[in-house]
Amino acid sequence: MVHHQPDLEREIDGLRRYARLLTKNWTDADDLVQECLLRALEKWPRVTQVEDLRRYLFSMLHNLFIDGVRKTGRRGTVVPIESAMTAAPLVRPGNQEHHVELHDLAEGLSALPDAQREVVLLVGLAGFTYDEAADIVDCPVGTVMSRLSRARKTLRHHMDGVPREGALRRQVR
Amino acid sequence: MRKRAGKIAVLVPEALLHAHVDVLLTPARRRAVESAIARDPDLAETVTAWRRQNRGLRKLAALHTPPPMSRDMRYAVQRLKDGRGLRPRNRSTWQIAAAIALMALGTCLWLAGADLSDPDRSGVVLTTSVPGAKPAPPSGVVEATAEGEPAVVRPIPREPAPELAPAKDSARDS
Repeated sequence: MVHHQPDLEREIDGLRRYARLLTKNWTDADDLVQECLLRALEKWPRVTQVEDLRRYLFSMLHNLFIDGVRKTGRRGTVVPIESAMTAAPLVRPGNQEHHVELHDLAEGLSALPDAQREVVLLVGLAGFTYDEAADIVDCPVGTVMSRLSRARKTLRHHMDGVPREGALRRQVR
Repeated sequence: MRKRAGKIAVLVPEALLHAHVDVLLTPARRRAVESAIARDPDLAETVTAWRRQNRGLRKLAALHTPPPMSRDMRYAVQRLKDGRGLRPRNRSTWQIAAAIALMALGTCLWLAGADLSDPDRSGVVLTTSVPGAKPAPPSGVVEATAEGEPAVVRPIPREPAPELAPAKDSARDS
């Protein structure tokens, strides 16, 4: 399948927003996306021949993210959620409950390990299937399912206060 | 199947529930899961929570307005619009040429056995300049030789050290 440049360009916004939630800040997110785009452009004649351009780009972004984490040994910069929330016109009268819910979700997302956050974003945000997500993060589908399950339980704990599985087990003991 | 409060609920594998939330089931399986969810409030609650998470993720992503693109990213986008790729970001030609020239120079010096740190052998005087310091005298002079013969370095005879005045004790002894 031959793709054209506008297909790649269309993915930029989605990649940037995905990378923003993955890295937790715009600086690292845009560095990742920029590097991803440059690599795609360098490999352009070959990139046009890939079967699924979107998956290819997300896979490239994943590899760059992992490389970055390994190289710097850091887990991303933690940005206070308040600053992110106040930057957007979300706080409006009558929308407080919605705001709190998103705040809790963002907090839970930040608390997730990178691997779980990545999977929950690939599936829940980017809309990839489990097979595609497994291909992107280069691990078995079973691992993706297990990461997704754990991530959703943690997020639910943050959003609804539902105890996580581990916490439940500890209570029973 | 499991019993809950007098009702019989169907045990649905968690993977199927996830797939249901992520709209990845075939119509037949989706109907089966939906009927199981309808009979089990716990399952329904879980599915609702996970759907809310997915909606929340999309809202969070939309919430963060991307900052203006950096110059490099704009450049990449422009290249895309132009329908051009990029040349691999290898080192530029002059950098490669300079690296090769330096390597060749180093190899030549090594083969010639030149030791830049020994002025008597190399005929080259390496000095460092310190502001305000008196320059060190050269340690040797390269003599002109016939063509084809190796250069001869003649050391400059050093001036004898000035005689020191005899020590007071020795003067007294004598």
